[in-house]
Amino acid sequence: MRAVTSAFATNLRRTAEIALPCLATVLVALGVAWWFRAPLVDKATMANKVDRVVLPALEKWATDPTPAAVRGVFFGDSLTMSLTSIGQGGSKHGVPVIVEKALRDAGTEIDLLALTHAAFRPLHLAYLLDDVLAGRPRFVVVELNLRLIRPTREALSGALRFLPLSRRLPLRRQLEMAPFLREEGIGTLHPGVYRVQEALSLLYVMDGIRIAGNDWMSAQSSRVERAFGLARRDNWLPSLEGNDDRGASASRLADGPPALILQLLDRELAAAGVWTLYYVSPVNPDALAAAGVTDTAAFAARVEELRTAAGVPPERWLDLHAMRRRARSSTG
Amino acid sequence: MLFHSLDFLAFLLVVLVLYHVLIRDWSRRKLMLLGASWLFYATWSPGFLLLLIASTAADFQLARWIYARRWEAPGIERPDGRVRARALLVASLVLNLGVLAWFKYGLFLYGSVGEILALPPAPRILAVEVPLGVSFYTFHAISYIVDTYRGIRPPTSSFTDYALYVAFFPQLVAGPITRWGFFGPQLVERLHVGWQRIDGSLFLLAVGFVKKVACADSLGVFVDKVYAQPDAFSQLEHWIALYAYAFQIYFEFSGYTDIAMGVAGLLGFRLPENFRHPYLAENPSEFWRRWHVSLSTWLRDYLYVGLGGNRQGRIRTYVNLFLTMLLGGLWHGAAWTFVAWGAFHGLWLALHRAIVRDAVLGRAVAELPVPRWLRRVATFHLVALAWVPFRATSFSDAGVVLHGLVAGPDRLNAPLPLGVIAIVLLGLATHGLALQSNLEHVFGRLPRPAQGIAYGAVIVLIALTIGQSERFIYFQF
Repeated sequence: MRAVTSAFATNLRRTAEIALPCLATVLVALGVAWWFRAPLVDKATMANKVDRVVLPALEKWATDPTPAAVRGVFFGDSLTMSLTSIGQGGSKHGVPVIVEKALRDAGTEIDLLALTHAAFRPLHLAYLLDDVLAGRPRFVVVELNLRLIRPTREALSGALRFLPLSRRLPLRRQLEMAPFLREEGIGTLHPGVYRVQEALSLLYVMDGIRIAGNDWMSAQSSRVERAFGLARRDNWLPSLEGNDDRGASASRLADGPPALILQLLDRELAAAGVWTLYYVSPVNPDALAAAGVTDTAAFAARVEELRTAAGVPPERWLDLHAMRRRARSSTG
Repeated sequence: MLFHSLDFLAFLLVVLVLYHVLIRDWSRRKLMLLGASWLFYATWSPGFLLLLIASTAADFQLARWIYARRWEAPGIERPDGRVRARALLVASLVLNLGVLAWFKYGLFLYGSVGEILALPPAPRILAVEVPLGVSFYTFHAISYIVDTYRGIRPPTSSFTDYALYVAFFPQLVAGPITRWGFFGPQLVERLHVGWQRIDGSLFLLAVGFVKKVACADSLGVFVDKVYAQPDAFSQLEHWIALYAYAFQIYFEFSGYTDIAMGVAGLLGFRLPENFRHPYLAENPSEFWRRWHVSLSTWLRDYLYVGLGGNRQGRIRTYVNLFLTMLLGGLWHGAAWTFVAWGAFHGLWLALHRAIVRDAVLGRAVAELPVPRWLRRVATFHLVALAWVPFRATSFSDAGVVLHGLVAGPDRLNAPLPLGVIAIVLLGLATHGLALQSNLEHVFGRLPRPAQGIAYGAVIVLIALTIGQSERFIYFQF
């Protein structure tokens, strides 16, 4: 018995000798990060305004409805953001404005939310679905940008994937979306970790440290370049859009996660009594051709396959890309 | 479930608690490890788990039949045993290589032949996903079957043991390729996990994670940019990318192996060493004794020897070397760029053997007094250049990269990647230090609290750098 107790004590001591300093180091690092959290979060959310702008707007819209108004949501990326006039005034055009104008012309009082941010994809609406449904919308308009529907990792890495938004996912939906989340780099525990980070006011702090590190490295790079007389291109060419276009045009959208996400969105929105319209934003055919995507008919067929796989009827699906292609071909 | 994911950490913790605390019986522990390994695989592709189990069951039974038909007892062959066993050996090889060929090479072969014969687009049945780790577990199975046929050792009578050998989760999806002779004896009786083993395993885990997450992934961000648009980058950036990829693939794969060995070590198992500071090699032959050792020795024992090895004259030896590396290149992926990479290494090995060992150009050339450091530098650069077609997605892209090395633009396309340069220098430094001392021993001599602080720093470093890449290069093979 004494031997067992002695062995246990030895093991405990040896474990503590390593584990305690290890834990202390991690806690010190966390403490430092927490102390400097405000500037770090500011740094990380300078370009990513989801938590700063989009979520507060969504929360305000959901909790402060205009009485007796028809409530609706326009969801999309920078394209929808640039086309919608909600809360911005000025002359805008495009599907959101057409819908908005049609409702106003019909004398309907409306209470609309533009749930938009650069690089938003239907996946992000799925993250925020409960928040959206809390506002009891009558309709939702969802933009589908073919370039972003299944982005490559190179095209959308890091901040533009909005991984921390996954903390808004309820467990049931998280499990249902598991295959797609895996492609995004979100494991089973990630949403929970983001929730803990949010509770500790540490959300985006790591991103802030990374950005600060990159800024520092860039400054050092410039110094070294000057010291060695190295010249840089005036306009550097980071564009991987060609890859995105090739990727989007080549992938079978109907077989993969995009269809799964649309199915899920459509089913849950319909179950909540929400009418949903999807519109495929047009991609410049010249840009597609420049990227080597010349078989535009096959491209359009894949989009149609996606609609069928998602189970969305044609009357709730506007393929503006196909319409624009047809219009161009008819006018020569 | 990637090694550097929270899910894997949780999975490993559960396995360790079950293994060390809750289950005391050795047979049950092995059964639990097998279940955990299959669960680990199912998180990637549940459908392909059935394929893994089916091929495991088939190989287990075939090996038993092969041995029973050929061998009366260890070392005593039955009369006519070889003929009777050979049919079963062929059946087993057809089964294993057939699975590999169908899933991994079907589309490639159809596409290549189709281009020549103007065949219609490949049928959808060929456009299937490649089962993760199929190249690795197929090689496990083949070595087991061939060793059984050769009578090197009798097959196991325990399906659990054999299935665990094939599916042991630390090495299931990216090796190292372990032989039954190495792994099987560890399954016989309960393994003792002492402090020395735990300390060594923790060290391997820390080093592996730093290599993968902090080094390889950081290098990969820059390399991906250059290879995505090679014509946009300057000559200097192409050279940096050349070195960066050489160290990215080294850090990533050797880091993966370190993590696999560390995880296995925490369970009391040993896995074979896979990397021995490969960029210290002075010639191609030495490089392959230092790089992906478990694959190169597998290719030597089961392909090169099978082709006749060096027993059929000089010319045939060169041809065998070339063919072995050619097929080794194809093993890495279904693309002509991998074949070209393998062909380059095959040719280089054959030439090196002819000139240095067989002295076909005379003793004077064979014994040319080239300084050691120069041999190392030259070997490293040839290896690094050979990585270009390996990394590029097409020959034209590889051509652009190679052209960029000699005649790329002067102006940089992006800020000078100082971090990348620093990591490459770190890679060179660790290779240099390996000549002087063993880092693990140096670390082991530190006071334990200092080791704890170092591990804490590693955790912080990983937390800051994780998320740059969600893949392992070698998973695709």
